[in-house]
Formats: sequence, C-alpha cells, structure tokens
Amino acid sequence: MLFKKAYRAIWAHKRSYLACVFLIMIGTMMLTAMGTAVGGLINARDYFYEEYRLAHVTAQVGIIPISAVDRLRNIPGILDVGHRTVIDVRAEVENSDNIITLRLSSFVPGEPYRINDFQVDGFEPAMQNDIVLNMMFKDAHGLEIGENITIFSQGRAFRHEVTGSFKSPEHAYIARGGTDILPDNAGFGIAYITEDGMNNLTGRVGTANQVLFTLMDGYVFEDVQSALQDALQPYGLIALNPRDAHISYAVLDMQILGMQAVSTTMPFVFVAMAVIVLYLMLKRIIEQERTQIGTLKAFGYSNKDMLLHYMAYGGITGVLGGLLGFLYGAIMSNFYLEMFLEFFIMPQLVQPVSPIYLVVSLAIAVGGGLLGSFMGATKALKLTPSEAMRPESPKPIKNDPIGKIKGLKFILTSRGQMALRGIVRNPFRSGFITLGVSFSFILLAIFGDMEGIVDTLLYAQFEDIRLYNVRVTLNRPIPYDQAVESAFAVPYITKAEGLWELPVTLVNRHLREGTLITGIHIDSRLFKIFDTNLGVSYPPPVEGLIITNGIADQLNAQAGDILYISTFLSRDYIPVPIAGVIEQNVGSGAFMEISALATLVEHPIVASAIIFNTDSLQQATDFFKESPLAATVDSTDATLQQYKDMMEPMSIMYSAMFLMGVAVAFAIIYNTATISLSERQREFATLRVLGLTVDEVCEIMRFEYRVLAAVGMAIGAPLASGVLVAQNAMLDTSMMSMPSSLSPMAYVSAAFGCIIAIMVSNFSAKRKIRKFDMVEVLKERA
Amino acid sequence: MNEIIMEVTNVTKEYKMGEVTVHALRGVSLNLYAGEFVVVLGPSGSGKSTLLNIIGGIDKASSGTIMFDNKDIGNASDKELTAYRRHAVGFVFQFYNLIPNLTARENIVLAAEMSNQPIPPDELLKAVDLTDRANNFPTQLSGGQQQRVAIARAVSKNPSILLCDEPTGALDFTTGIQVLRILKDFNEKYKKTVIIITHNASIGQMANRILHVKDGLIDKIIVNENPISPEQVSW
Repeated sequence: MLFKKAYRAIWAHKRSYLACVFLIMIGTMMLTAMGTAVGGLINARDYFYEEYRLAHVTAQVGIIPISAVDRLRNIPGILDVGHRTVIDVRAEVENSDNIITLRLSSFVPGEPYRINDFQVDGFEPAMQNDIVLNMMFKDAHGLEIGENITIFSQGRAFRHEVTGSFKSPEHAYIARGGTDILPDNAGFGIAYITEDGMNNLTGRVGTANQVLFTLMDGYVFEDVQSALQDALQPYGLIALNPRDAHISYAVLDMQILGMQAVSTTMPFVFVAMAVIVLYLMLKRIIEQERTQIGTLKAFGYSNKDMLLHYMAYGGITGVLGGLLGFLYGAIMSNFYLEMFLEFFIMPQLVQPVSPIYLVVSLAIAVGGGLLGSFMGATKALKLTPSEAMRPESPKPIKNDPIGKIKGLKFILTSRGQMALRGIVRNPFRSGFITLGVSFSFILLAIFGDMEGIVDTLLYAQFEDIRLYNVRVTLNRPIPYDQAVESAFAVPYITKAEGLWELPVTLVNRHLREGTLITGIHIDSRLFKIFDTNLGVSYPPPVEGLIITNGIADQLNAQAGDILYISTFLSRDYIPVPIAGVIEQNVGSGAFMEISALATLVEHPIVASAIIFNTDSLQQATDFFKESPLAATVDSTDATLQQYKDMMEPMSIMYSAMFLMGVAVAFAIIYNTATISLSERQREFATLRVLGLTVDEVCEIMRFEYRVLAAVGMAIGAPLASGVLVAQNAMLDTSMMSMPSSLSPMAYVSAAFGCIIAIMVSNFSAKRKIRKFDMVEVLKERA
Repeated sequence: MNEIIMEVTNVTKEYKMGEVTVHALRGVSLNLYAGEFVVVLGPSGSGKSTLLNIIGGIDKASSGTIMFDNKDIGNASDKELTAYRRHAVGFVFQFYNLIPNLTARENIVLAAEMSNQPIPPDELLKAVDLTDRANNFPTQLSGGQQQRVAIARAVSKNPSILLCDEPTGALDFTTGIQVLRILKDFNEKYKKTVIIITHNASIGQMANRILHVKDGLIDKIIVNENPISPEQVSW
C-alpha cells in the first residue's frame, strides 16, 4: 500500500522527478556512451598500433646510407629498425584548383614486418610510378584507381598512377603539423610510393632521411634516446621523436584523455546535482506529509518502513534515470565510436556495450537516488507520532541582513526584504540554487565558447602570426638575399621575406626537445612572434631565443635560463639564453633574429622558406610550380577557407551542446523553484489574500533568483575559466595548448542561457501562483 | 440601521470531492451594514467558512450575486477580485499567517503599502500594545501577539470589511478576550464592519447581529440590541 502512495506522490510531482531523471540520465548516458566509445577507440588504436607496428621512435636525419641503418639494431633496447625517405612535394590533380602538398613516404614492396606498415584498399604500389593516397585526400579529389596525379620535384613533373588508398596508424589523423593541426583533405595528403619511385624523384639511391625503431618490451624512449642521438649525429640528426610527438598519436591521445575525463567525472557531477534536488524534494515532501507520517506511525508502521518508503522515491528515480541513461548511452555509443573511428581513419571495430556500464550506471544512479532520498527522509525517522501531528516549529531568523546593514531597510520594499530574508533563512536551498546557476554557467560558458576556442586556436595563426598569403618551402636552404630576389621575380608580389627554419634539439640539463628555430628578419612585417594569451607581438630577439610555452614546459625552462642547441650544422652544443617565453595555442617552436641565428650557429644567412603577399595567387603558384627551388607552395587564404568550411558543421554540434547546457540549467533551477514555491505556498497565498497581484508575489521570487543568479554567475565566471585551465592542463601537449581564457561572448551567452532558464522557471512558477487555491492552502495548519 | 455595504443574494457554492458533489451553500441571502459587528455561528461543515471566503473574494460562488460598491464580486475577474481584496477587505486567520520573513511592524507595513488610505502602522502597533515588539519576527512572538499583529495588519489597509475566521480558535481565554477587544475597538473607532466566524457561541453576545448557518443556509439571524463588551464574554 505504501508503494501505491509512493507511486502517486511521484506522479503528483512528475515534472520535478522527471527533471531528476533527466539529470541522472544525462550523467549515465555520458558514462555509457563515452566510456564505450573511448574503450572502442583504445581497442582500435591498440590493435592498429600493434598490427601495423607503429614505430616507438622516429629519427629525422639529413641523409643516411641504408647500409648504416642495420647497424643501429645493435643498440640495447632496439627491437627492429626500418628506414624510408619522406619528402614534401607539390602535386597537381586534374580539374582541381587546389594548391596541393603531398607528403611522400617510400617503402620497399613486399618487405616483411615493415615498421609503420599500412593497410591498402586497392593494390600496393609495385612499379616506380605507382602511388597510394590517404583515403580522405583521394576522396576529396574524387580520384579513382588508374587515374593519375602529377608530382613536382626538383623542378620536374612526374606522373603517378593511383593504385589505391591506405590507412595507417601513423596517419590516423592527418595534418601538416607544426602550426597546421587541422586536416586539409584537399590541400594536404600522404602518399606511399616505392623506394625506386622515390629514388627517381630525388635522384638519390641507397639513402634515407627517416629511421624508424621499435623497442623491446620494458624499454622506453628515454632508455635509447642518448645512444640513438650519438649514433645518428653523424648523419645530420634533425629530430629524434618518441611516438607521442607525432601529431596523429598526440591528437588521438588527447581525444582519448578528454573522453576519459568526461566519462569519469561528468556522470558524478550530474548525479550529485540530482542527489541534491532529491534531497530538497524529499525534505519538502516530508514537511508536507508530517501528519501522514504521524498517522502511519500511530498505526504501527516502523521507522524502517517509513525510511524504505521514502527512499523508494529516490530509488525509483535512480532506476529510471540509470536505465534510460544506459539505453540512451548504448545507442549513442555506436554513434560516437563510428564518428571517432571515421574521424581518426581507423579500422572499423565493433565495440559491444559492456554490461558493466549497466551495473555501474544503475549503481551510481540508484546509489545517488537512495542517498538523496535518505538524506531527505532521515527526518521522518526522528519524528514520534505525536510530534508529527503537530506543526513544525518555524525556523528562527538568526542573521537578519536588514537589521545588520542599515541602509537596506530604506532601499528595499517589504517584498524585497522578504526575498532577502528568504535567501538568508534557507542557506542550503539558496546555496544549491547558487551552485546550480554556477554549474550551469560553467557548462554554458564552456559549451558556448567551443566555437570561440576553436577560432582562437586556429585563426590567430592567420590573423596575428602569419601575415603573408603565400609560403614557399624550399627544397634546401639558399642564401637569404637570393631567396628574396627570386620571390620578387614573381609578378604582382607586394612584399616578400625569407624565413630560416633550422631543425634543432634544445637541451636543458637532462631534458631534450626537438623543434625548429625560426630565423626572422629584424624588420619582418609578414611573420610575427605573437603571444596569443597576452595578444602582444615581440620583435625577433637578437640575443637569445623566444620559445613557446609548450617547449618551455617540456624543458622545464623559463626566461633567463640557458639552453643548449644541438644541430646538424655543428658537432658542439651551443649555449643560448631564453629571451622570453610566449604562449601559442597551436604549434611550438623557437624564434630568433635571422642574422643573430646565423652568427650563433656560425653559418651564412640562409632562407629555407619564402613568404610573400601577392595580388595574384595563381600566377605565383604557376611560377613556383616550374621552379626547381620550391618544394611546396601553400596559400594561407586557401588553408583558412578550408578550415572555415570544415568548422561550419561543427557549429550545429556546439549549438546542441549549448542547448543541453540550458536544459541542465533549467532542470536545476526549475526544480529548486518548484520546491521553493511548495515551501512557501502558504506565505504567497496569504499575500494574495492581502491583495497582492500575481506579479507582485512573483516579484519576490524573481528578486531572490536575481540575487542568487547574480551570485551564482559571479562565482561561475572565474570557475568557468578555472575549469577551462584545468581541462587544458590535462590536454596540454607541446604541440597544442587550448586557449586559457574564455571570450567575453562566452560569458555573455552563459549569462543569457542562465537567464533564459530562470525566466522559464519563473514563468512556470507564475502559472502555479496564479492557480493557487487560496482556500485550500490557508485551510492547512501552518 | 446603517447603510448597506454588501448585498448577498441567493449565493450557492458547490464543489466536487472525488465523485461527490458537496453543496456548501444552498442559496444564502443577506445584507451587511456599515459599521456593524457580526458573528457567524454554526457547526463544522455548515458552510460558514465558505460564506466568509466568498464574501472575502478568495473563493467564487457557483451562482448568485454579491454586490459591493455597485459591483458583483461573485462574478468578478481575478484582477477585480485582487483589487477588491487589496482595498476593501481585511482578513484575520485562525493560524495568523504572518509572513515569517518580516518583523511585526514590517508585516503591517506590507499591507499598509497597498492601501490608498492606510492607518499608520505605528498607531496600530500602539493600539494592539505591541510597540515594544515591533521589530520582532513572528517566531519571536507568542500566539496571542501574532494574532494581534495579524489584526493590525488586516486593519492597516483601512478596509471596509474585516473578516475574521476563528480569530480566537488557537488562543487561550485571556488572550482571546484581548483579541476580541482589539476587534471591537477597530469596529467602534473606525466605524468598520467586522465579521467573525466562530464555533464559540459566547462570542455572539458582543455582536450586533448573530447569523446561524446550518446545512449551507442561514438558519436564523438574531439582532442583538444590547451587545456586551468583550471583557464580559466568558467561555
């Protein structure tokens, strides 16, 4: 019979319970969906890495004879060694206007146990002119097997026949790297050609510029780092990188970390919110059912019966929320996993939803539901039947803000005073509303600024750093003046400068980091050293290096410290002070004035890239297509447009996330408003009898919510920033760091979302006040 | 006889309790006069509270008319009823219904703020002998003190009619007499109509008229030519 009573009570307050179920459902949905998807992603990754032997260490060298590679196998800890030549070249696809860069990798056809192997859909290249392309690039250009692609190398054009597409673990995520961390499927691709084909392109035989290593079990990068550096230094070691420095590995790892963080923390946050709402609701219900409790106890129901009865409210809510969340999560998990596997170009593995998620979802949901209702119901246990029959003694006012703060009495109307005291007299309820608003504000600010974060992340590169519209990467460094002169030979060029990108290893005590030092002309107007956090640009330093925050963190170094440069240009380590550390969200590197860099490494001033502005992009591209100097030509405008096109559909997702934030805010605020209204219906009915209009009565609630929302938002604003910083610290890599500040629009939209949720709740409260049956309410005991 | 301030004609009230239709009022007609002191007596469920609620504009009649100031409040809109409660009537409840977040004085000010011709709150606090408790919250007052504040609050709007639902029901005898004295003073000093609903037949002795309600009808009306003072009432 008590169950029937519980069922009817839940039905009577169905909206409030539904809001709790919604909160729990969202939490457990995240647990199941994200948990399953991340599990599937990890499995797919591990399978892919293992099956296709992703290198543990990759060494980039100037040039190494293939005959020398095998000797590296003797270094302790090295399991296997591979070699290849990797070069960036310009390419052209028929009927495509894109400026294309292809990263070509060589391989030996039929080689067993190939490191960094790849899975071909079509035919593996066998002939000199065969080529396989990464799937997204092939699809972006609508290339079919048997069609041709033209590659430009050393000023010559080579036609290659497409034999298929491939997937590979090192290219699960494809981006140029450096500061270009987003895929540009039409403008940048990866391709495999035979070693013979590569020899034909480069004119070099029996050499490689990349050495790949797998390590024995129990060995890590640091164990072999030093020995490999010594062994490879004679071949012009440019960079020695562990797996995690690879863009594909780093982005995938960051995604997995992010998803794990979301799937493990968010369910508890949402369920905790539901616990508090349930506690408040049960507390209120028990106050309302005081007489019933007394009657039931007088009839002989035990404390245990009463406790179980009220805990059933939370239990049912938990079971519903947990089950719905699990089911919803199970449906969403496939969607998420497919989306991620497609995004990361990985084998389509099926990840069944583990029953453990049902158990955990139900455990969290029911545990939370029972806890919330237990906290609210314990009061029912303490009541003796006679106590329960009497009205509860009113709460005394201990801290009267109006008495303490003199001016308030004159500023506030009676209704304002009521509202303010209402806040102070109910610290738990007020605290929860404040907390709910803060939580919603944080969610909305972060969800609302995802687009802003991506904008900052990407567009700063184009608006504040790269002020040129074309960049030509040269096959090899050439004297600076020659580089700039060659640029001015191109028609319609308005400004041109050279950049010298020198691959180095920066060393601070035992810490090492491979990077590029970019030498910039002292009067450069096309490339800025820009701090994205402070929004300040710095002139290239003539004494010392400016390094990015990612490098500084990896080297545990700060401005004023002395670093040592290891470069293939010199056998010695060259000391150099850190002139400054700047924050850059995307990419990492070091910067110096170009002639100072030349002096430092005792080398003539050279340029490895030319940057310029032109009014005729097509003519510039055509010019450099014929040039034997140019390896690749990139247009910043085209890249930016590509990013914009790619990010457009994301806006819909961000809007959906923002709406979910509003729904959560509404669930919290609506429930607290309902509870608050229920607690005060007698008070409000009295005011209505006294002659106050519905609007005047609502004004009291509105005043309270305005004050609490203002406090909640004031707390939420710095917390949102803090959560962003914490989240970014977790996702920080030397390659990329998320912006650590939210845009003003994020705060505005979060405030807007909270205000909308409050307005809807208040509107609902107004409807209830309008429908108050004054006779019924006032008939009851106080 | 004074002027008629309200004409109640053939008022009925029916409401559903589950599947049963309850006829709370079956056709009540009466006139209320300016400045009179009326006591409504009747057993539980007789319809006296329903009558008071309808007169007070917090409940609506099923049929009939209640004319006040040339308006039928029985068929008034919510907005008109709010304005009626705001300016024309004052309520005193059995369980006081003071606003817990306001002090005694603030409770009175709250009501006074709504009126066009309020009675000064401090004057009323003095009248109910609570000047020294003006800044106390309801929880810091005894039941009798709370009821005196409730009366002062109802009176502060300077209403034409003061409606009291069992005003002494929750009080001991001495406090009850104090409360009746205040109601009588208001009636005499400001010449306002006071209607008291009670089970307590003794209170009827201080009224100008006593209405007996039975089974949703006015059973009889007794005109009391010699009302006694509250202090003479005993129960």
